[in-house]
Amino acid sequence: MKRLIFLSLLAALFILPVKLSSQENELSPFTITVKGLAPILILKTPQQADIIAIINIKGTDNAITVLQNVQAQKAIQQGADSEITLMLSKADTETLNNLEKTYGSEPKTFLMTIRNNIDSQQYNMQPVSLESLFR
Amino acid sequence: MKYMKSLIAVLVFLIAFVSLNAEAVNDLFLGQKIPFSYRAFPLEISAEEASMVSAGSRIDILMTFQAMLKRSGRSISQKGEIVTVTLLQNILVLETSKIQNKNYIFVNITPRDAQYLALAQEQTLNISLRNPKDRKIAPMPVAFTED
Amino acid sequence: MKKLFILSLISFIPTALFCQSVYTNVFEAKQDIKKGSLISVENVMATTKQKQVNIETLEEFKTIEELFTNTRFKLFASQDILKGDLITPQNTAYTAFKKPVLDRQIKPDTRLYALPTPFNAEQKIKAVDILFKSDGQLKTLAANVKVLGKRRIKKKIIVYIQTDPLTIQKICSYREKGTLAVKISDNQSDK
Repeated sequence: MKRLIFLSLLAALFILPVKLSSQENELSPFTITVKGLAPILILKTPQQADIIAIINIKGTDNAITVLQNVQAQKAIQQGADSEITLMLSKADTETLNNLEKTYGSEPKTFLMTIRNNIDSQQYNMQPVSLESLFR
Repeated sequence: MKYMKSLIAVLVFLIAFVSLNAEAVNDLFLGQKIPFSYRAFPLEISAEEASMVSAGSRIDILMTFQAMLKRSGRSISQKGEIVTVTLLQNILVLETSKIQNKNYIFVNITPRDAQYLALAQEQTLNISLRNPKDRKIAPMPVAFTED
Repeated sequence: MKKLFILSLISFIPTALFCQSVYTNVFEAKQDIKKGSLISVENVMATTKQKQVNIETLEEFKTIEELFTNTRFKLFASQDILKGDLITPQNTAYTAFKKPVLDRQIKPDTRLYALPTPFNAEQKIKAVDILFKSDGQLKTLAANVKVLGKRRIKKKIIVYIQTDPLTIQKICSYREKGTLAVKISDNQSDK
């Protein structure tokens, strides 16, 4: 009985790291092209990021935060831009794939902002245009 | 008593595990500097501008663009008029860096301002430097070129 | 006590193994680097040799990463580094860039703006006039604007002018519109 308890505890010590890494297995890699070379500088190590898309809605460019608190893993240079790899859940992957359906046109460009590593707060973000700033 | 000892051993392991892992995870320099509910936005600037800013600097971000304006007593040119506005004031520079002769600063802004700054990337952006103690924010008029 | 000690020891083994594999901020040379060359993203990359990194040397590699990413410092090779070698404090040295500390000199309600000029490094410049060239005529945008400092960047002399935010906005919009002319102000007294 004592040995059983001891072995169970020991087994639990090994399960804990496995459980932590298995959370990553629910995420899949997804690559997007982001404007500029800054991601090459930032993504020497994975970072938590938000992704902003610039989409033309009814003739006006709008900025929309399409993804929040996603893990950006690495970046590769693509000319003047960067191709970044995101680790996305199924829901986030669908969000990105359905942007044209949601907003009526393909995103013109993507930009990336970085969060504090442990800030997981998500907000209800509304699209904005420069026109709305000066009205 | 014997089981208590095993429990203590497990607790010791968990504390060690969390603290050693925290050491590895917290080694991400920019990710640590950003205050909660803010974002680090990468902004490409000129070499001249990069020469006057460093981490901790406070700046205003100016945007120059062509605007179709209705101004009394003047006809509107079809091209529009070049104007400059102060888009964001009292912005903290978190970090500066350089890659392939391009200078970048990482500015600390709210998620909403990040959306406006993302849109402004299509226009001409400039920065002006503040005294780090000057945190005043005031409504700024537009600068016109057709006076 | 003996059992407790053995149990703790066994508990640390997965911890140590697991933690070594998550540490990633170590750089290796992706080509041969000659002594005296700058260490940059062009010649180094994050290492693939993670398992070989000892936890005891964590502080050393942290220092290298901080210097590498901090634009206030220049990291360079203090000896020849071969492709595949790790970048360590033993094979590198660093110097600090000396940037002018201008921001504390800026008066409240004014801003500093960096303006390229046609001047020489030897010229003493306390104040400048900024003009806009249009149809062969010069229009004064700002007169006797105080200069807090100057610096040579890419063969041009940059002056740092201190003025109100609206004047800076005006300078930016005219700069977008056409060519600016900058001349040393006749009145060189401090404003």
